[in-house]
Amino acid sequence: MSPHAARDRGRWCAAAAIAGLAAAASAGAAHEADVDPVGVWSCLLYGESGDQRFYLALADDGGARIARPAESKDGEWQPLGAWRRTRDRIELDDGLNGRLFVASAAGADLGGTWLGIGDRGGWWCAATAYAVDDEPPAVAGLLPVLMPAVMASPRYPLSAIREAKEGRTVSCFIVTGAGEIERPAIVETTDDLFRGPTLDAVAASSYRSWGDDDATLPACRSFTFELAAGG
Amino acid sequence: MGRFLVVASLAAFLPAASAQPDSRSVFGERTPLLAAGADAIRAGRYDDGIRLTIEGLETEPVTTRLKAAALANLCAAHAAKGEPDVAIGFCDESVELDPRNWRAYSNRSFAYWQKGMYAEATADIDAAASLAPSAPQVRQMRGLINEKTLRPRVTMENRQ
Repeated sequence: MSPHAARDRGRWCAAAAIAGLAAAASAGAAHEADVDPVGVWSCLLYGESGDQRFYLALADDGGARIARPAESKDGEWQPLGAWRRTRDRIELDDGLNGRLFVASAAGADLGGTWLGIGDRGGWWCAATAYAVDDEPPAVAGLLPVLMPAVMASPRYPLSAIREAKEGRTVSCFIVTGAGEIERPAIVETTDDLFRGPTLDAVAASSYRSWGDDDATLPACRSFTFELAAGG
Repeated sequence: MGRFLVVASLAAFLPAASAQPDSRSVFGERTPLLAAGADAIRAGRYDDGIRLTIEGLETEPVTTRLKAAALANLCAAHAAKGEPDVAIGFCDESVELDPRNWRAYSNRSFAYWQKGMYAEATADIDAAASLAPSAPQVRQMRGLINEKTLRPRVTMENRQ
């Protein structure tokens, strides 16, 4: 198989697999207004290989550019690939890393899941006031470390215990400068049983104040629901 | 209050789980007392059900299989009354007579569960499941055991 064919096949698999995840992410937000993806976003990417913050510029001509901390420091955007809107979602090709990003088209925030060859994860972005033609925002906006103030633990659903179900969820949300959590959403879930407890726990959580009132940062929290024998 | 809730939940659980589902088809017209006893137990009238079933066992012609079914019903009724030790005795007799009666295993599982003997309860519900894998009562009983024996834990990780 040629490298191109292998890459195409990997991307097809990625798209097929990610469709399921995106459906889970968008199901709860079907009633929300569609997001306008054009603009500059402050983003968080998570995956097995680690977490990364970056700025993302989506132009109305379908072009996408990225500024990671190093590029942001230099005031330079790096071409990333192309984005497009389908009926209910937004897709972004990451030509730099061979990844496909998928987001629900609903809601105020931009994010969902991504899939590369041999790796996968999620991403979440907060809108910024910057324009696509501007230089990348200051690197300082990518550097704050969010310190949890309250980390509420979700209740384990009784029905899941009875059915001996384990699972995993990831919720992403926006953290204001005051440390409050806004608009939590489910990005990944292995079972809808865990959706409600996850969102309840996130909504009851907060971070320490880290910036001014207008500042926002995307953040995510993963939850692993496990059952051990021996009652 | 707590005791009332426990009794109420047992009563809600057991009638469906315990007595034979259709007393007429199981016990037939030649054993009206056993049939009436099963109906009473299913209706939650445990004392009436126990009395009628014992009378039926003493006076009506029963095959080994019918006797095993009647003993399983006595087991169910006593378990529902919160008398697991008495219940287990009847279930033991029932299983000995008819090792294919999944309700006897299911009822004994419930009695063991009441006593906090979860390993024994699990063994019996496994036996019931092997005979009646799709019975809702088996799933319910397994859920009750899981609730007592599985320790839930949630691990959180911040991504930023």
